[in-house]
Amino acid sequence: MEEEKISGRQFGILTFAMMLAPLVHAVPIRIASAGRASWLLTLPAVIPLGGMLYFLFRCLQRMPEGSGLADVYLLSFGKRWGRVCCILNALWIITLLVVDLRYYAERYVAEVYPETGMLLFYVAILLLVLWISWGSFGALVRTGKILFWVVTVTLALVLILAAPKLKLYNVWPVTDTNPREVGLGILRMAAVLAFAVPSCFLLGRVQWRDNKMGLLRWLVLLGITMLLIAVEILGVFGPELMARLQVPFFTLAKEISFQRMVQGFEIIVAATWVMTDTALTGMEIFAAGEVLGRAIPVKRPEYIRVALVCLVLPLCLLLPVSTFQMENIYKQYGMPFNGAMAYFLPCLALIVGKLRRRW
Amino acid sequence: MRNIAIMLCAVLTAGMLTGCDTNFLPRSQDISQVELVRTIAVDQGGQDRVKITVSSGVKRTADGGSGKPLILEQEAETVFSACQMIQKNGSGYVSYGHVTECVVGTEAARMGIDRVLDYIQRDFEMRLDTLLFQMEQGEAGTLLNKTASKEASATERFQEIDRELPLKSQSWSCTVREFLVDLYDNGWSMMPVVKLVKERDGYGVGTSGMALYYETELADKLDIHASQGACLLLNQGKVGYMDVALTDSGVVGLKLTDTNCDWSVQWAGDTLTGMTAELQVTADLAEVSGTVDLQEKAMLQEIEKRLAAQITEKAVAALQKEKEHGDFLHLQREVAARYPGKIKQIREQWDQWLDTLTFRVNTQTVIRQSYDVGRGVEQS
Repeated sequence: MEEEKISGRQFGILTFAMMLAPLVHAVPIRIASAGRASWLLTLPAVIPLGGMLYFLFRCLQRMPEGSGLADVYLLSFGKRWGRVCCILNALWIITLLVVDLRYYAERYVAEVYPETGMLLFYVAILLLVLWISWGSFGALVRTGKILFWVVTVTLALVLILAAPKLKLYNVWPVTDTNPREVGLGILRMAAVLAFAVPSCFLLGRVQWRDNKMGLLRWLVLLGITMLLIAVEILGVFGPELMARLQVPFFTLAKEISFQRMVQGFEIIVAATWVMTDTALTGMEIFAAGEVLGRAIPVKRPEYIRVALVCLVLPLCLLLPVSTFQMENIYKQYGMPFNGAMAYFLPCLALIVGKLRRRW
Repeated sequence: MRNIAIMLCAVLTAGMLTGCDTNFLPRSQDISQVELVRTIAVDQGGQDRVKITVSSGVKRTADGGSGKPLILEQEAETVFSACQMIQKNGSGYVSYGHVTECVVGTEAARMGIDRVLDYIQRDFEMRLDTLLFQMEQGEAGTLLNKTASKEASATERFQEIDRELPLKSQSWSCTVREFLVDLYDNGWSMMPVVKLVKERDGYGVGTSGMALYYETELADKLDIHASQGACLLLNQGKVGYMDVALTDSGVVGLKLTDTNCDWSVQWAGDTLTGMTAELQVTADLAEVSGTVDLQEKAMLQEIEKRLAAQITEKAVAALQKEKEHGDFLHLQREVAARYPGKIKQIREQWDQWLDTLTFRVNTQTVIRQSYDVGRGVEQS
């Protein structure tokens, strides 16, 4: 099957739409301990991702057409260790997919069908992903454009409607913080932005025109979106209350009402957010398929993707039932693992490749 | 593959339709049997238990008439248990997704309202924009029961109160979110106080200033003067009225069209020594009784002076309470916002400074216009 090429803009739209799924979870919970200054941390948190992507793009420019992050590993570390890296990355992406599904199921079920098991959500979204994974990446990207507009408009509406409740004293003074928590907050947020890295395995399918400016544009948009979400949530709930909420963005959506009579907008927002979950899971399954395909060459990559989707449901069911336990596992192992796989390994590959004069 | 996907979907749908496992699917509720609770009352039960009373709005009957609101009551160890017992009691289903007001009984307020606040924060149905009220005296459940009639329920009464609070300017609407934001800031928070008022054909609800809470426990109740002062100092309840008595020639009714308080801070080196509330009030002359000549400049100045004195008196009453109890006006937050570079010092030394701090109130009043009564008469 001939690979369909997509434009940089389409790729940016899909990546942005999918990033809104982990971001509403993480912003501002992962930075809440920095107090009134936490909203500012969203900007430096983008720098590690931006830096890594900049050097990756520079490297890809010098590589043959159709190369992605997996090719960087193969070229830098050689065939054997490159394949090991690819398999390791496939495992990482599947882990991300499983954990994401768990978080999204919790969020959706809590808002829309409280007191119901999460199995129905898992099955429904995995059936959808199964269908997506059988199709072409181009189809997912074209769908991504619709998802992007629906989710962005919903986000904008929530932020605009909740804006009158914003209090300046909740976001100011920014000096009311702890330097250690500022540093940790940036690291935690950078670990969340690692969710954007699996999409780099699909860069080989992207036709680049002005990649540096395009990259900068999308990173700025991502940073501003995070900043707006953080300012709004922090401004409405204040640092202490915000730190106690499970998903503050959905609590913010719950705060929206018309004359205190028309309420329940959070259900619409939660339902809309399934679109970002779909974009993320779709992108992850394609990325996992792509990276595994480089390690174990197969004629029909869609079979790999379907097999991976089928693997996800039993893995989801193996996760601990307790949300507190999940959170502890994520903090203890998930965050460092994300940091290592999304930043350390690609940077190591780029440095090793440079030293070995591969580009 | 498409056929397999279609088959899978069909099998799944068929599985759902059989209802073989009810836990797997969302539980359905017959809409005709769902009762929407609008107001929740929290009282102290016996042996450290909590008593919850819930009330719906006025019920609409099929023929367009109205019926008395549904009121249910349960007592349990926790707010959650009591609410669950109410929800699962009988054949219907009680939904808390539309609760707009929560009223706390006096005894429950004294014992602390941390349990109900925590319940509202955590429960997936409850909302943080629920309005909070405290009873001046007695049980909150009694208020729900006594105000319930075919024409109105406690919910309608509280919504009226919410609308009239700015007019009376003695308290302001406070949501659970606002209460918690203040509480987590320095432990102090406030909520409006309501009382049961006997009316000709039943009972109504009236307001009675603000209640002060420290660490979720009732610390004091501000009288009307201090409550109005707090409103002015915090720029809350902006549109109000005030009657100004003149020495020999009657009373003037003034509508306060705009009030604004700005703070200036005085330092002596690195020590905070004083804070001045710069109050600016604009009023319209709404009613004059007695022999007042408004063409006389001195008379207008006299009214403005007396209005300023009354407003200052109220602000001073609130500031005296601030000195007496602690920073319930959250002035520390105000100072920290102005001096971000001194935040550490402000946080560490605030309590020490508050003891020696001098508060000043500088009130400027302007009577902008008089309502032109004559024009209305001509038009009619």
